[in-house]
Formats: sequence, structure tokens, C-alpha cells
Amino acid sequence: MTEPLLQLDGVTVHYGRMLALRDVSVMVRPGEIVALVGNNGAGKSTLLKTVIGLVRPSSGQIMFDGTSLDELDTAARIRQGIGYSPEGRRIFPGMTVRENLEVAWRGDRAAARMRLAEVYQLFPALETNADVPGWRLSGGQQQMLAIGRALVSGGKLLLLDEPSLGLAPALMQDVFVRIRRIASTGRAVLMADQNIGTALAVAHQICVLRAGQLVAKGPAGAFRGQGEIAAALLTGEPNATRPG
Amino acid sequence: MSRHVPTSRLMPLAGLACLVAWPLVFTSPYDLRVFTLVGIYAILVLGYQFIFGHAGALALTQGAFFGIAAYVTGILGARFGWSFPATFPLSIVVPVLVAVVVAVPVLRLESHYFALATLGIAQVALLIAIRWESVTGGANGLAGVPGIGAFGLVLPRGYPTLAFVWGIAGVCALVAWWLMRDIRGRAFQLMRTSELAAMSIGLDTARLRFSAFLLSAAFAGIAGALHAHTLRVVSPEVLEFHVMVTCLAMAVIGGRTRVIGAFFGAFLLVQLPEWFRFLEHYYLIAYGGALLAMIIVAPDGLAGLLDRIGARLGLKPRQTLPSPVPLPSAAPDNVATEVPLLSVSGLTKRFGGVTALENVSFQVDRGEIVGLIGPNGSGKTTLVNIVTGLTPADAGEVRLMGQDITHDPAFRIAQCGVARTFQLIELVDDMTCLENVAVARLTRLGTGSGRPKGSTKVDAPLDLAKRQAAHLLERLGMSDAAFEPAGNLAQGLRRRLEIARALALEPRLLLLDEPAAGLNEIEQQDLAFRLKDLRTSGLALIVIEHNVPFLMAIADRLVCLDAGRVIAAGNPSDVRADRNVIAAYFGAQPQDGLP
Repeated sequence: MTEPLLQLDGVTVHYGRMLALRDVSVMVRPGEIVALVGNNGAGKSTLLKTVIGLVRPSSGQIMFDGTSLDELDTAARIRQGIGYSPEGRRIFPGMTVRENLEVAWRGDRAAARMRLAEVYQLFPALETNADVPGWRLSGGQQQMLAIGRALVSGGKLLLLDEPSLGLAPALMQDVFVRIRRIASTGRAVLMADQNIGTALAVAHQICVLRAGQLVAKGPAGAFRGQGEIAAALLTGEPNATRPG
Repeated sequence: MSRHVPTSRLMPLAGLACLVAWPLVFTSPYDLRVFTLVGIYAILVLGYQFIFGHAGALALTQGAFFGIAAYVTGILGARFGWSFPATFPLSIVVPVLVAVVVAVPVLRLESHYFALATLGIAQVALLIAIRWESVTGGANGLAGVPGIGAFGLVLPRGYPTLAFVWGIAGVCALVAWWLMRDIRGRAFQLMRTSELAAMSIGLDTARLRFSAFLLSAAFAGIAGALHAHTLRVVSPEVLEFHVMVTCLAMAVIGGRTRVIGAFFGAFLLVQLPEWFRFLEHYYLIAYGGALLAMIIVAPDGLAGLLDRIGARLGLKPRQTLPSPVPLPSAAPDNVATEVPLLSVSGLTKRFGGVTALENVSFQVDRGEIVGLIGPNGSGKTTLVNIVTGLTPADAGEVRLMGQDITHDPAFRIAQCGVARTFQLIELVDDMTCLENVAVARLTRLGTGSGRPKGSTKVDAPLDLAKRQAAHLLERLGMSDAAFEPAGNLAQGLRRRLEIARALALEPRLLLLDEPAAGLNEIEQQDLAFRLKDLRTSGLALIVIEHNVPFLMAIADRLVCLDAGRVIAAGNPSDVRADRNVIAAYFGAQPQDGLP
């Protein structure tokens, strides 16, 4: 079996006194798409933030490409080839679409141009609006831009938080087809998605989180058509308050 | 309902008691003069809190208003021999008039431009004071300003003046507290956090800012007049920038929005130089260091620090949900039923060279749920923004129950009964759920027909707003979260809270921008159920949503936009089967098929 690209080992995260993740271990191999599913407040976003270094775990460790990420800050982790698309469309409103994408790139120009072409192929709307300032994009287009930026910096691993949010159905299908294609070239994807249907359709592996704990994981095929995943998700506390 | 003094109130009260005890301990004439100055500065800062703290605008005019008032008192008193009863009101009126004049151009400016413009005004006032020697006495200023008094009697210095100044400071404090008490102040907090949300609940934000600016000027006028009377001299010093800086520092260190904070700030910043006097030349370093330390330790000011200590000690006021009162049932709108609730015709909007909307027309009837779909960037949100008045249309017309609202400002459209939610939720995260809804309800009660009748209670509208807000929370199944800060809620509840706030306007039309985004299947079902329930009361909904199964379950009609044009409209299943819609929106497999 291929060596894991990303490995979280017994990661525990606290927000103040509140436990957000408890002893979570997740592994992502090159070329693999892993989907985190679970309720709001289950810890999906926290887990992604922990990988990119926006949240510090209180225990456990994270290995990426054979080295430990524990001592690296967010900027250094991104330089390692991790791209992160946060929830809620955090783009730079004053910059044009092209600038938004270019700032994510550190390295030689030829490779940058290739990545840009890749993003434009995935989201033609971004190419037609390349010189439009970010604030003028519609909500869904901003979402595309956030994913596109992650693609530019994520040479090895993409972290996508709710990538389907706000995308029209046709586009969503398109995005997932292309994410699969991108993964087939050896890049790995760790994504959080509220929508179990999309997660099952696109991911190779599924990790079910509930109240900060990993309650089930396995190949997506094993979950398809099973009631247990829905049960695992829905017996959580839908009204649980979210930390931070 | 039990009435008791919340323990968190006791902390500031204890602080106030210390302040009152101070002049009884330090009794030299100099100490008394310094303490009088504390009272004067407290009034100045109380005023500054309106524009700087509540309205959140960095105005640098407060020092100028203070100085102008001092000069009005000085000129009228020293040159013309007028006494307190005549000069005092005029010293308040003049800075307010200046504020009215400068507000028109200046209040439209944004943050740093606003600060710069207000700074310019202060500099002009200073120059006039120095150059207009025949009236102002030039650089030397005017001596012989009379003391506070009337009918030949003049208040002696020392305790009587001190008591008078502090008496007025007390009245000012009461007025400031009264104006901003409870959820009234929360309206300003909403405006600071999200101007969009404030307008969308019907708050006239321009007017709020304007009145805050005038109140600031009025309080500065009171402080300036008292300053001239106690010093008996007016010189250009009162217009210099350090007065403004001191006032700003007092507001930051005491607390920007709390009444007690103004007193803490004034006391500390007047006393600090006195306490550090023994350091002689080094006192400025110690002074600066102390201020920096304060800002680091208590970024919300001393008032905020006390609150935090109180919370740490568990001195949290007991919170009981006000007993819910239902909103009045919607009155029939007296408009012929042939007239549609909303009719949009020929709407066109361009951003630069990009056409966002092109000749869009459609109608919505009472009690109808219309789903708005279309590819990303097809103009759905722009359409909602135009209907709610946040974006002006280039051409076309929006009519609500026959009335043209195309060019009405957003807050007025909200008052007419058009409510909305936002794609990226716009709530005040540090306000509780109850407050978030009650602010909207109070705004509605202030403008609408729902004013409580025959109640003798002074705070009846406030009380009613909270109780009706409690009802709305109950209706959306979130009473348990009433006292939870909105920022602590999960996505599903935040969406529901935004809807509760929109319903507080008693809307006839509710526009929801991607309400199901980020909700899980259970939450979606719950939301669908609640939306259908709303329709039964005659409310019409326009729902933008990419989650088509969710939309199919609730919508009576679908409208599909593509590149700013309506490409299909009508029965949901027809629109869904439409070839153009499939090509533009659903893609090859219109079912929920994924790769």
C-alpha cells in the first residue's frame, strides 16, 4: 500500500474548556479523496483548521509527506503544498480574480501558469471574470475562487471546507468530476461536506464525525445504501452549539 | 416576573460610590478643582460615546465642539456681561448648529476620511479663535468669564461649584443611559456590526448616525460651558488637539459605550498626571506606559474589564425569558386582490460593462412561495438586492401592492413590509438571540402600527418588543437558545434566527438567500416545514436556493435566471423539465445524479 500523505494521530482539540475533537486519527493517501461528514459542530471544520495550523491541537500529532507539521505555522504548511479553502468564501475583495489566484502561488512562473490554466478549466466563469474585482463576484463565484486558490497552492493536498456550498447543481457535478480527475494525478483531497449524498458520490473514503469523535470510517462503497451512516449522523445533537 | 438588581450592576455602582467619596477625602481647593474637571470631562466623554462608541464613527470634532461652547460662554459672558441662564443654553445650541452644518457633507464619508474631515473642522475652529482677535481675544483669550450664577448670585468655588457640575454630570449620565438602555443601544450595535442588516430591519442608519453626532455636540456644549465658568478664562487651549486626544483616550480606557466608563476614563486620565507628578520630567513616560498597559489589559475599557471580572466571579444576572406575546395578526392590506403583492417589470442592472440583469419581469402573489434558481452569477442576489433597495436599478420598476418602491431607500422598503435574510448570515454575534430579534421588533414598533395602547408603563414598547421577540423565537423552536450569544449557534440555528428577525418586521414579503445552505438533511426538512407554515398566514416568500429537492418541496412556482434574463418561469415540474433550464442550470443529468 502507498505511504500515507497526511496522517493525523490521536488529535485532540480544545476551544477554551470545550472539547472540539477527541482522539481523532485520520489518514489520507496520495490520490485519495477523503470526506469528513457529520453534523454542524461535529468538528469537521476544526479538523481541517488543525491540519492547516489555524487551530493548535492540545495533544496528538500530524505528519505530512514524511515530516511532522507540529512545529510549522500556517504559512509554512501552505508552502509544503497544502491548499486550503475555508468555509464562508474568504477571498480578497479588493483584488481581481487573477490577483486572488496569483497571490496563492509561490514558485516559478511556468508552473503557476499551468495551475492557473487548471483553475480556469475547472471554473470557466473565473476566466471570463479574470479582471473583475473579487467583491463584484456573486456568492457562488466567490466560492469557486476560494476553491481555485486552494488548487493553486495545494500541489499535494487540498483541504476543502464545504466546497459545494452555494454552487449550482450543474457546476457542482462538474466540480466533483474534476476533483476526481485532479486526485487521479496523485494529489490528495480532504474535504468536509454537510451533504452526505455528494460526499458518498465523490469520495473514496468516508470519516463520520460526531460531537468531536470519529465514530465510523471506511471506503465510501461500504457506506452506500446503508442506513447506518444516516443514523450515525442524525442521532447527534442537531441543536448543539458550535464552539468559537 | 421577579424584579431584582442584577449583581453585575453592583460592581459599577461600587465604583461610583468610590468616585463620590473621593472629594470628601481630598479636600484642598486644588483637589476640588481637579475633581470638578473630572465631572466636566465625564460629560464630554458621555457625549463622545454617542458618535464614537455607539455609532462607531471616529469623529475628531468633540474637542472643537467643547472649545466652541467655551468661547460662546466666554464671549457672551466676558464681553457682553450675559449671565449663566442665557449663555448656557446658547453654548449648547451653537455647537449643535455647527454639527448640523458639518454633518451633511461629513457623515457620508467613510472611516479615515471621516476622521480627517472632522480633524480639519477642529483646526479651522482653532484658527478662527486665534485670528479673530477683536471677538475672541486672540492668543491671549478672554479673562473675566463670570461664574455660574443667576440674578446677581454667583456660585462660590469649591464644593458648591463641584456639586453643581457633578449634578449636571449625573443628569447627563441618566439621559445617556436612558437613550441607550437595553435593546435601544443594541440597535446601534447592529448598525456598527452590519449596516446591511440594520437597514434591512428598517433602521434609518443615516438618521441614527446624525442624531448621535448632534447628541455628542450637545454634551460637548454643556462640558465646554461649564469649563469656561469654572476656569473663568477662555483661551485657544480649549480648542487645541490635546483636548480631543484626551477625550478619545478617556473613552477608550473607560469604555466606549458604557455610562460608567465615561466616569472611569475621565477620573483616571485627569488623576494620572497628578499621581505621576513626583516623577517630574519622566511623568509622561509613566503616563504613556500606564495607558498602554490599560489598553492591553482591558481592550474594552475599564467598564468591560469589570464586566469580565464579574462574569469570572459568577456574578451573572439571572435571566428569565420574558413571557411571550404573539404579534398582532396581519391586517388585510386593503389593496384589490388583482394587484399582485410584488410586481417587478423591466428590471435592468449593469455593473461596469457586465450586465447583471436584463429586462427582468415577474410577479409574486400573496401567500405564494416562489423559488429563484439559476447558475452562479446569473443575477439572483442582485435581483433580491434591488427589490430590497440595497442596490439601485438602472431601469425598470418594482411595485409592492401597486406602490412604486423602486427608488425608496432600503430601510423604508423594510418598513413597508419587505424582509430578507442574507447569503452570508448577518447577525450580531455577541448579542443574544433574544436581543437580535428584539432590536428588529422594537424598530418595527417604533415605526409601525404595533405601538402598545393604553399602557402606562414608561418602558412599554421595550418590554413588548422583548416579549414578542420571545414569541418569535418560540415559533421557530429556539426558546432554549434565547440567551445564547448568536455567535455560539450552529449554522442551522443561525439561519432560523435570521428568519425570526425578519419575521419581527411583520413582513408581507420575505426574501431568503440560500436558506438551506450548510444545513443537514434534518435541518432542511425542519426549515421546509416552517417555511410552508409561514405561507398559511398570507406571507409570500422568494427563495433563492441551489438545493432543488428542498425547493421542489416548498415552491409554488419557479423562476430561472440565466445571465441576467428570465429563461423559464412557472410550475416547478415544468421549469425543471425545461430544456433551457436543464442546459443552463442542471447540466446533463437533471436528477440528483452525480458522477
